[in-house]
Amino acid sequence: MILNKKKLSLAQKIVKRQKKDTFFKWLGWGAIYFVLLLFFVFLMGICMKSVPIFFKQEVKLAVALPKNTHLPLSSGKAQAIVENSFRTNKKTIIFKEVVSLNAWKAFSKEMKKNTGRSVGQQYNVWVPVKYKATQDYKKRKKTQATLWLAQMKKEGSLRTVFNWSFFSNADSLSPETAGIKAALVGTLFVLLIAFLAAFPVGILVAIYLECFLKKETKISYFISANINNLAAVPSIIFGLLGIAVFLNFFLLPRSSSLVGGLTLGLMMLPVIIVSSRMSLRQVPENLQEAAMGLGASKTQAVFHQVVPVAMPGIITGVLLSFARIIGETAPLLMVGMVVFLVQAPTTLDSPATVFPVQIYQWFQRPEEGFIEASSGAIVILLLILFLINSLAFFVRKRFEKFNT
Amino acid sequence: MSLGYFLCISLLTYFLLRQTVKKWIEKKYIHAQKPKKLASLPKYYVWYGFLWAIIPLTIILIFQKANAFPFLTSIHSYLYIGIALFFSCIGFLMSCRALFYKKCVRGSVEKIIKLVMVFLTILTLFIILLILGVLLFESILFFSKVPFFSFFFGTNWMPNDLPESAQNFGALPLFLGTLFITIIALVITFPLGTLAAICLSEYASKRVMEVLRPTLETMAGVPTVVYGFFAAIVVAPLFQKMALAFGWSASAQSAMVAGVVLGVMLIPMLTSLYVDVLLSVPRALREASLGLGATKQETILKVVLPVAKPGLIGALLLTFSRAIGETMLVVMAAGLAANLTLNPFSSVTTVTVQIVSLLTGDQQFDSLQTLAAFALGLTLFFITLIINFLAERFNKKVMV
Repeated sequence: MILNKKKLSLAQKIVKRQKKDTFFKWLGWGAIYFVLLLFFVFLMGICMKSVPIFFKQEVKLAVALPKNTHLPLSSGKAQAIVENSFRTNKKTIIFKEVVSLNAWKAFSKEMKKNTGRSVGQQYNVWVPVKYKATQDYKKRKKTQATLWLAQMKKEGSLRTVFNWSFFSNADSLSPETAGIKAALVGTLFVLLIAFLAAFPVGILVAIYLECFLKKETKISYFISANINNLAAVPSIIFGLLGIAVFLNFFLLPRSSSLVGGLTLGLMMLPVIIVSSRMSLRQVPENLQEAAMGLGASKTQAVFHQVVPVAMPGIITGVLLSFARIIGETAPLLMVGMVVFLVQAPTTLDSPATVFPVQIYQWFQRPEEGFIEASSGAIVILLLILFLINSLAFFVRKRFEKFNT
Repeated sequence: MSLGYFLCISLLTYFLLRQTVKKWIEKKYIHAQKPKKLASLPKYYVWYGFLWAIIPLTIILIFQKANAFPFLTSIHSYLYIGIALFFSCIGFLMSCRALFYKKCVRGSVEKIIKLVMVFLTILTLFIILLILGVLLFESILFFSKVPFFSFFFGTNWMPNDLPESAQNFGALPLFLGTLFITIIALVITFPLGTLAAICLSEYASKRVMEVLRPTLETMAGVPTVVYGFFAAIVVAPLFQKMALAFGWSASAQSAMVAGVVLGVMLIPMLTSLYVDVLLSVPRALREASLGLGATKQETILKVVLPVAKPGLIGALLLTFSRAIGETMLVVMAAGLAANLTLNPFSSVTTVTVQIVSLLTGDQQFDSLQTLAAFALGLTLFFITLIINFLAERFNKKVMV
């Protein structure tokens, strides 16, 4: 080996070293491409899974309102009427396999639309098909239900539509009528509470630490170290804190968006403080000095000159902290936001659920179709996150332009 | 009294004060025939009165929400509005008084604002103490029932078995499970993340950087529940098939699945931390090495990495602490069975999973299960605190 090495000329050595360099470089690029590929597969996998939930099949039924019915109908009665109308078309067994449990909702909606009609008339109602039947039909399995669906298709009373009810419905027991409205409203409430709790405190603390407190003293180091530590505490610990403080000490209502929002507000606080401090630090110092030279007090100089200049950066930080807490699940699970909601929450005290918790809940259900619903919710959540991130990016870009 | 009333009343007070005091000052002092001298700008008088009204109201609200005094909880809403109006009047009178005595109000307002800021800063510091206090309090209750030693070194974890006994709370499988999954994750994250970060900071052009860094940050921000879902739905069946093809028995939820997906999840985070560290290495060092004839690879391996080493270790520690505290992914992919094995295809459980599963039921708050969750939380808190402390130490060592 040693003899071999000596034989290499200088030029050969250089070539060898350069080869090593190229190899290293391509190793690095390979790693990056591999990671990007992994994430591409990851995203595509979830998107592909979510496709079926965005489209649903509907079947046209001719429902007749029996002569001696009292309006308005209860849900059970409406369902019975839909079922009865089906019985006249003979096969009752198929009904339970094909038509969704929530068919009466479509029926009563149709009835509300045509209030002028009298009792005894027929309504043509498009009712959602059960998720399983749809899938069987698409896979061309031959069961009673799919044969009937094929027949309906021939008659022109089967159609595939975009699943708007996924956005306009709250949770439901059957996947074809389950929707994300409750999660959407809950997320909005939680974000609102978290923002109201964390933003004023965070921004004031950041201003105090950056503009008023003497820098490079032991106290300021201690405070920064503390806030950094707080930012690195695992989210689940905040869940424990939420249980012990908000639920057991302040006795706030369990599983409400108020408690969830406050818990997430605590998590958001250090993030806001750190990012606001960063953007306050970037403001040139002579701005404040000039203002004070003109006779403004320190408070005036800070609040009228420094803070407005730093505002875009602060807003970016707040948006990024939103992006961080919008996906938090564990602390919200622990304060009890795992609830089954048929209607979206209306007040801050009422039980609520948020996107990630809804995803988790659907993931856990054994019925077919909820996995797809779950991935549909994930796609929406990722879209929201992407929007927030690009908004933050945009604000930051404008801020950079403004500064230079 | 709800927050809504409070907000409405405070806004109303502010606007009423502004309408009355400011208008009055402008009429009598500024636009008068003989303008009088003012000690401060008109808006400071408004703020002065407003603060006089709002601070007592806030204090009442906080005490009421905290259930500190029973008589405050039972205040009727009309009475509360009455109290609020009373304080508004006081605020108005105080600003009139300040105007009359030509008091310099700006100083007082600024002093109050500063005091509020100091108070909020102390409050922020108080949060971490609060966490510590709550965890310690509950854990002491727990350790009075379950001996310290049998909790940390016991191997039998069956918290839901009845009757409750100290023997069922041996948390060693949880700690080892956490460590196992974390190590699998880091074995995947570390090489890929390091190579990607080196390539991004040393070889990539500025434009590629500009595109890839926000992408990385966005990927790092994907919620963990999404990764957990992917792990359970796509990766787990795949791994199960692979294990069966090799003739091993594999459960659907396994340490391997959780570890691998956790590793992939941590790559963007580690990469962006590493890129930051590598970019902070001075250019002069690189240029000196290149100028002496070293290739780029030699420069990186022999100059840049040794200089950046403390920072890199710090970043790795941060990633490690993040992996330990990770919850949802592990809940969805790793399972609940507390096994003490080294077989990566068997189901293991972690500290975070157990905390969640102990607390999501409808337990009594004083039951041993709940207390056990707090004891686990305390352990987790201390471990992450120590790791973060070490990481900070390493980060400070970075040569600049």
